[in-house]
Amino acid sequence: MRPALLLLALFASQALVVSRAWLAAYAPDPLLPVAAFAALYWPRRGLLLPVLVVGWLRALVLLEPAGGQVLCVLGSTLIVASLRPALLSWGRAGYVLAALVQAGCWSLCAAAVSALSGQTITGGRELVLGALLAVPLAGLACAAGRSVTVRP
Amino acid sequence: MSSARPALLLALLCCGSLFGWPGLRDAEQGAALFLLPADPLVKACLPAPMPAQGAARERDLTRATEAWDVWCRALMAQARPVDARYEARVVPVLAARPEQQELLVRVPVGGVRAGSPVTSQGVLLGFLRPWGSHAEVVESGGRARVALLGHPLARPVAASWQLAERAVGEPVHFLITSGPAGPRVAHSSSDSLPPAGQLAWTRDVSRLGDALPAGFLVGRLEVEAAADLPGGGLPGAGAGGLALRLQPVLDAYALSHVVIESAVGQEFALQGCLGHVLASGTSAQRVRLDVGRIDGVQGGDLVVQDGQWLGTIESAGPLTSVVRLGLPDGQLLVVSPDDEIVATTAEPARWPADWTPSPGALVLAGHVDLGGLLVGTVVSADAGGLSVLADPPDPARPVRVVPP
Repeated sequence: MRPALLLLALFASQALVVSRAWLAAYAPDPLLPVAAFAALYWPRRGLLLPVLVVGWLRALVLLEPAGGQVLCVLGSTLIVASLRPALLSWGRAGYVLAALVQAGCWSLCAAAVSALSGQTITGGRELVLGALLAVPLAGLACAAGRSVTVRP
Repeated sequence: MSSARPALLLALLCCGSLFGWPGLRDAEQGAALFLLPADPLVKACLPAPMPAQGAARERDLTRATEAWDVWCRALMAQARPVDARYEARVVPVLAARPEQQELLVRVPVGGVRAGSPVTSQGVLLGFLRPWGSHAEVVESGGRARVALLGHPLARPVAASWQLAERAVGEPVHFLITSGPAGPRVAHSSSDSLPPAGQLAWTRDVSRLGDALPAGFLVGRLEVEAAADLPGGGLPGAGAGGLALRLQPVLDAYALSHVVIESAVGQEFALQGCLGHVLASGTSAQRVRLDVGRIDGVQGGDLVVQDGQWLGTIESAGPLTSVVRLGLPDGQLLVVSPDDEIVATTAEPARWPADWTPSPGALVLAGHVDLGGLLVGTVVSADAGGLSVLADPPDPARPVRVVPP
């Protein structure tokens, strides 16, 4: 699963480029469902790897300092991962809720890091719209999640 | 505890990235390697770029080239080397060092002499000085140092001032030497004091073997009360306890280009490389190029596309680099619709008094190798800053990356 998820993150980052080109400010961020999936199903001990990959890829695509996006993904993923037992018990709705929580925490982190560092760290609308992508993807994500070992 | 350690290390590295630890931003770009294979596919999925407005754009590019040429001629006013083997040449200022009273300029390697004058718009700024403790004037990268007037290593300059209404009378000669607080007026030929703000020029002392041409403006003379000397004595300069100070007429540290003397025919070796804008990055303020450090790209290099200014290299990874789009940091030329050229910067605080760029005016940057570069047209200008409309980079055409 791990290499597949990392490849999916790479694909999602390029899908973000295309969606921004066509939809501008209303482009959903496909990296968010990937990050939410990792927060729910990736083994906790190795959670830093998907955090690093998702944050770094988003920073590369948005041409921002990687540190800002990685910090935001780290913060939001740790929060969602801490809610893992409750969210997993809700099935598909739990995945959608995880994506929404992740989008909210990520956006708050982005605003805080941006204010503290003076660098542009993009969050907000794209992430919330990205969380909405979790609705059609929930069935697939839950099926994929069940096939891997989860240690809550 | 042990699982928290990697997270803390990662957070620390993130802070380093955010606050610009040296080299970290460049290292981050190394991962862009993974985006390169997908770039053609992404490019094919993007909407077609808007075509640039052909005739109007060509006209603007021509105006940019002409305005730059006019500006260079204005910079070279009065600069006429005595030695026929040398010619006046506009060169870029790479850095200003007020603490050392120096400028760092880029010059043609092998084509300049120590002690040759450095000017701008007919104003003598200083002289080229040897690089470090060596006899060479130019270091291997083509950089040279300018010792400004008053620098301990700057040579004395013979100068004079004369009242306009007394033009038939004798001018007052003096020597500009180095002092602890900049240029010092010494050995005045008369105790007469000039009016406040009196301009002074270099004078012809070729009979004494000094080839510095006459007529360069050296500064404004200001009379100031000198402190009493211990024991009630008077200072040497001036009379009646008054001293003369030479104030610069140009802020040398704010100049983007100066004029030097260089050997005739000695050209800059045009450095830099060609690259393309990559599709695998999306930002209104930045673009990624497919050239990096292995192609010779460095942070601060300029990026242009067919006579159009794009921006400066913000970070350079091994294979790719990031360009910050927007106005140049240094000097801009603003060409009004009636072809008036004003050299300024994007900061309103440094605009000339009672002047604001008019909407529709062209904004240009200049480069000694590439000539006038079109930045864009003024949309609005007020105390908040300058807003310029620029054409976005065209991913289909190559860009050139050149040192400043």
